[in-house]
Amino acid sequence: MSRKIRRQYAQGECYPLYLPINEWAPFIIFGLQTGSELLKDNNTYGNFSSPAFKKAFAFLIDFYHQGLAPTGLTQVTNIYKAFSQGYIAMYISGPWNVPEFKKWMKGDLADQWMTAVLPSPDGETPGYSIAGGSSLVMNRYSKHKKEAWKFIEYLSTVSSQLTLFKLQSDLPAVKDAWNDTLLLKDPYMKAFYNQFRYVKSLPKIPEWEQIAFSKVQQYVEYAARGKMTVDEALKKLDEDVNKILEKRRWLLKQKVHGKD
Amino acid sequence: MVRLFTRDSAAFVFLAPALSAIFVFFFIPVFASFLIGFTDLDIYALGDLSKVRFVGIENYARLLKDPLFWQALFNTFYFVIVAAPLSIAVSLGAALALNSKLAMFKPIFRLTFFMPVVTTLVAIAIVWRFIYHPNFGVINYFLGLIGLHPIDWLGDPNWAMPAIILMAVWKNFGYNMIIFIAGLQSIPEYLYEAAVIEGANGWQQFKSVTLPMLAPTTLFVSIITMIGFFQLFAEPYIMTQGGPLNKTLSIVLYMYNEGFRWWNMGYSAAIAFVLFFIIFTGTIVQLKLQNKG
Repeated sequence: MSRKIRRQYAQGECYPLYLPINEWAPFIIFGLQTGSELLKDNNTYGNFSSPAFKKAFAFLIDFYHQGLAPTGLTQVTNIYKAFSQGYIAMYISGPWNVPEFKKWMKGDLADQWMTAVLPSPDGETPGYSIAGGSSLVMNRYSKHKKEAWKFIEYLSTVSSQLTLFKLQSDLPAVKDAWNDTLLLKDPYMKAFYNQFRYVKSLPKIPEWEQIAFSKVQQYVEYAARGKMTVDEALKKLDEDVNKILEKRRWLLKQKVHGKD
Repeated sequence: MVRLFTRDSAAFVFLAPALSAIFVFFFIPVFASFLIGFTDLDIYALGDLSKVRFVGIENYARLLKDPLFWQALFNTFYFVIVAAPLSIAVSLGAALALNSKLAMFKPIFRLTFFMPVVTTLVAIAIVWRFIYHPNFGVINYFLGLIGLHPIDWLGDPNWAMPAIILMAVWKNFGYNMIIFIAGLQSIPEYLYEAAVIEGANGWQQFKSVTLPMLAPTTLFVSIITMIGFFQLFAEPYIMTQGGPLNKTLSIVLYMYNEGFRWWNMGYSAAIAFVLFFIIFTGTIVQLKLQNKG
């Protein structure tokens, strides 16, 4: 499809897909879609060299190599403007971006764009995505557990969830809130609602942030710019991730010995 | 009257507030981070101190095998070796021009050249991002006028560091310029008069009177500049985040990322001490060279 879009443009510098090299999420999402286990052995070793992840990684890297996605970051300074000017045709993002896109797609452009669920490798949509968002937690040592619980309850009511959505396009996690006309009427939210039923979660370990932001991004860039082959990049990525997870392996080992 | 203090102890009492401040806010933290450099203090340990391990020199050993560290070290040296002499030369040139009897509107120029020094880097970075923009930037516009292809200044791995150097030199030369102007003004006029009587031309006066008389100032300026430039951080942090391809990742930026983004405090402390050692050596070498010269 990207190649088709490319042919339609025929002239001028433009790209079918914007896949920023400083965003790890698309790579992880497509990796989850091919069924890869990102980390193995109870999240203590990297598993990015697995055939499943390699397939997804190579698929996305190919967009850069074929010139279907820009490799530079400075080329797109304002994603909304670039989108409204036709410099880029597709962008993988979340609902928080919808209001800003609405602002830029004015006049004739207003009904010329739409949101869609992610594609999947077998052609059946929707493909999996990551839920993102965040969790409400209560601290074990809190002195105000009752109040904290009350606050969590309050945030989980339909009306507060809708208020949050109105304020900053945070999608409601409570299903009942989706029956509200505010959401039903918004055609751009439909895709996100459908996508919600096809989500996988990320490894829940403190090291994940460093793995994603520093290491996945770094090797995406090396591969995208042709400094490394896909195999090299993923091998190095696993090596780096294994180093990062060394402490975790030690901690888990301590735990096992402690129980003996 | 009974003398409570001898002369020396009186001096010590007066110095005590300053000394204790240095002790509390400098020596203790430095010593603490030196110790942290031998542990694996990280996000697990910050939550539960029983999870700290003493790892000896392992952090330093890991550094030697870390390609990103070598990249950061290379980038930092690249920056210091190119930017420091350039910055000193530009400040000296500006100081000479502003000290010349021919120059007009001296206060205005002095103010203009000094302005970038006192402007916050964040504001400067925003303007320079526009200047460097591959499509609409003013530099590429001028390149286009003389028929050269546009350069993606901050996006091209080979041009990103030169772009950072240019910006850093522009931002910082005003400070050294002021020091050079002060140095120039303290050179007694009669030396130049004597030189003129001896028949020295402009270049000979500069070489034989100005430069030697400026030597102490130049030493001070070059040490301060070197120390400052080795700590390159804010420019790449704001303009490029160390990219593209880690070509603008500096030691301090790497240290910041490891320590304060990923909470690998032990590793980060080790990087800090390597940088400290480099700057310390650099300063001693410069002092030695100057004494010989």
